[in-house]
Amino acid sequence: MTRMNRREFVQATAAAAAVPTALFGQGPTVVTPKSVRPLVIASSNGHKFKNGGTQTCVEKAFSMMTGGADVLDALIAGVNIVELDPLDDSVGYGGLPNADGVVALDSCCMHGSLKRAGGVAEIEGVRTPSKVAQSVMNETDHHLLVGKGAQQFARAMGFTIEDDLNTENSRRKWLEWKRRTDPLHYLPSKERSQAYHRVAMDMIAEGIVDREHYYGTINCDGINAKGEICGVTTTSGLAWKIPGRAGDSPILGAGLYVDGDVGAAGSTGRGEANLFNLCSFLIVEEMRRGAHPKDAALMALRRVAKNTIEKRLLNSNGRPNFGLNFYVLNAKGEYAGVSMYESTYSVCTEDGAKTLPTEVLYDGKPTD
Amino acid sequence: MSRKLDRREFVRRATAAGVGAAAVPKTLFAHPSTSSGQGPVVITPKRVRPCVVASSNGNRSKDDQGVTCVAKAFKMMTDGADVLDALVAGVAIVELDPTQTGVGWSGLPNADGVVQLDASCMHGPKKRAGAVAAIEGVRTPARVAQLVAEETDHHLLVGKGAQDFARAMGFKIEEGLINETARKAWLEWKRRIDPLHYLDPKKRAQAWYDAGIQMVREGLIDGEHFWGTINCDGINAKGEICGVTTTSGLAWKIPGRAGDSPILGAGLYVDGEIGAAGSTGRGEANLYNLSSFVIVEEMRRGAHPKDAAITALKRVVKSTIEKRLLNAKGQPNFGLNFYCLDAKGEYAGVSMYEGTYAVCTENGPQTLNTDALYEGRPTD
Repeated sequence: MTRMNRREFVQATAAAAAVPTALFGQGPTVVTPKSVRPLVIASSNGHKFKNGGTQTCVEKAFSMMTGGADVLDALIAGVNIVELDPLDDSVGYGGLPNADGVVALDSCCMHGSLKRAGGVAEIEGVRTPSKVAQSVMNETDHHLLVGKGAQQFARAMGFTIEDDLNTENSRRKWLEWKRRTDPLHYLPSKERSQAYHRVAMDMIAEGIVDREHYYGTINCDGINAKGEICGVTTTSGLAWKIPGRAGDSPILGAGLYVDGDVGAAGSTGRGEANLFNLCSFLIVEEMRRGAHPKDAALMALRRVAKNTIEKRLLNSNGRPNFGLNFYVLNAKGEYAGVSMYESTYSVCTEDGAKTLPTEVLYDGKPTD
Repeated sequence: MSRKLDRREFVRRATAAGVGAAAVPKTLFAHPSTSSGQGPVVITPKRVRPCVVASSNGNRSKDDQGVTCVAKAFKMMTDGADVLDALVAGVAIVELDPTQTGVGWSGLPNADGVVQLDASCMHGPKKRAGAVAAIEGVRTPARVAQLVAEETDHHLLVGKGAQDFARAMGFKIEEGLINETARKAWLEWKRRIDPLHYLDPKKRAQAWYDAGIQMVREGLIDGEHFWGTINCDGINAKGEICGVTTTSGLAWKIPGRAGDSPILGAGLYVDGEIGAAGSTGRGEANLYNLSSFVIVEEMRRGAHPKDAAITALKRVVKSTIEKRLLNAKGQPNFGLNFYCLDAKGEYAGVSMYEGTYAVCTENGPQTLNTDALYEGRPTD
């Protein structure tokens, strides 16, 4: 993994208030009523894709934020890199499509200090759903627009609407999946849904689809030196989902939650687990009661494990057979990446951008 | 106030389930063991006084036999039906009532004159849940939500995809489904806001809202139906808890706007071991604060349903900081109601400002006043 040159990075972030002055030859630090070590945290794709540029998501967001940009503007500019990069087939443009071969995207964002939030679900034809979610927040009285209505809103906001967001890569993978599932087309819906899942698992086992991209998503949360906290989550959703299926990413409290006084939490992995357990909200509530980000997230994972009672969702150890990751930071600037099984996440502080292993609830793999 | 089920007949029906005799004061029943004619009561490991609680329309709309939502759900439940089946059948009465302009097919349409419905449901003991948002052309979205829970691996389907799913499940899809009353109200609204069509979206959103509130003041639409919804939760004698919420959403919403009703944790939350909570009123407040989930979490920590709901209302107040959402006293200028019950069968109807709710126990269906956080009205 390539990292930013340390010196260059430090230079770029010198405008921030909270870092030790000795590091910088830049005169007095800005005094703010509440001084926090600025921080951006994201899923691991937040420090992997550059869309042909020089910065990853967390680097871009961190440098904008410490350069004085609004925290949410910075985070959204960061995740736009991943949304627009055709190499990430789990987020934005080029994401794996639904069962009909149509790319339909989900996203939401929250602004901690403004106490505002917006989301879009199942929006087609827009490469950067996170920006549409931000427009829902800024321009409407609502928190959630879905489907055709969300697209019409985006058009009115000046977004380019494209007929098709597939790339050659996402189209080819969908065709392969279609070939494998087509004989199953007339199965009863329960068996079909089971068959969809099984075929996808085979394709992961065969290395055709990256496991992390089957439920792939990016969540990115940040806190600046003033202690302002924001978060954003964006995804193309579950590969080959039933058209219309919305996961946790557009749902406040499921795929993302921010409380400006407490902290932020977001998620990637099986969205249904978060829709059912409101994990991001639960984590923020635990932090409100004093828990460290890591402990708060582990508590949420245990809640998921407890509420997962259907056999089809359990492995031979009786544990959930799916991955679920949380990215969490609190108002003190403490953070954690926590997951059901081993995984990685990305983080950017004044020490630069890093990819780190998560804290896990269980050893081994979901499929054990 | 609505007509009630005949008390004696109701008691007779309820005891047929073999549960009433155990949990209710004996004095209510002249002959608890003989009135049902069914032999010994079923012994269950966990015995709870069955109860169904709902928003006030749950005891207003009636089916062709004159039975309201809470009465129907209570009877089915105590006759042995699955709790969620009973609740979904109950709310269908409200969804199908053509005089209801806040729930189901006769609800007020969106800004384009299209009726789009939201619903969610949760089954406590099975730990399953389903929801649909912005579905068109279906009269009973709560039933579609239940099928999402039963037939798919997902919890939420939206828009066209939700409609395609309903069609595949055998629902009749009706093009241009709209009630004449709702269509006329929409036309009147359209007439009032059309000159505003090219305003910037922020001003337009405000103008839309103002036109709606003005029509409420003029009596052209019922205030309760502007954000009208039904939530209905139930617990049977075995302690099985389920809940359902269904709505046509905010009148004249931006097409595609989903409120709290299809979102688990916002318009509805159920934990089989703890209780259920659901809501009607300004959906955005619950989407932001996950109020139904907060209430269930508070009950998990031992709070009574009433206190849990008051906590959630206070949380809403705390996070409502935009001026346009506050009245002259600095309090929220919108209504918000919660309906909750816990695993012991305790229940409450709680609201930001005074309101009513519906409940049905073995004492029959009743409409009761809610416990309110604030006196007065949202517009004060």
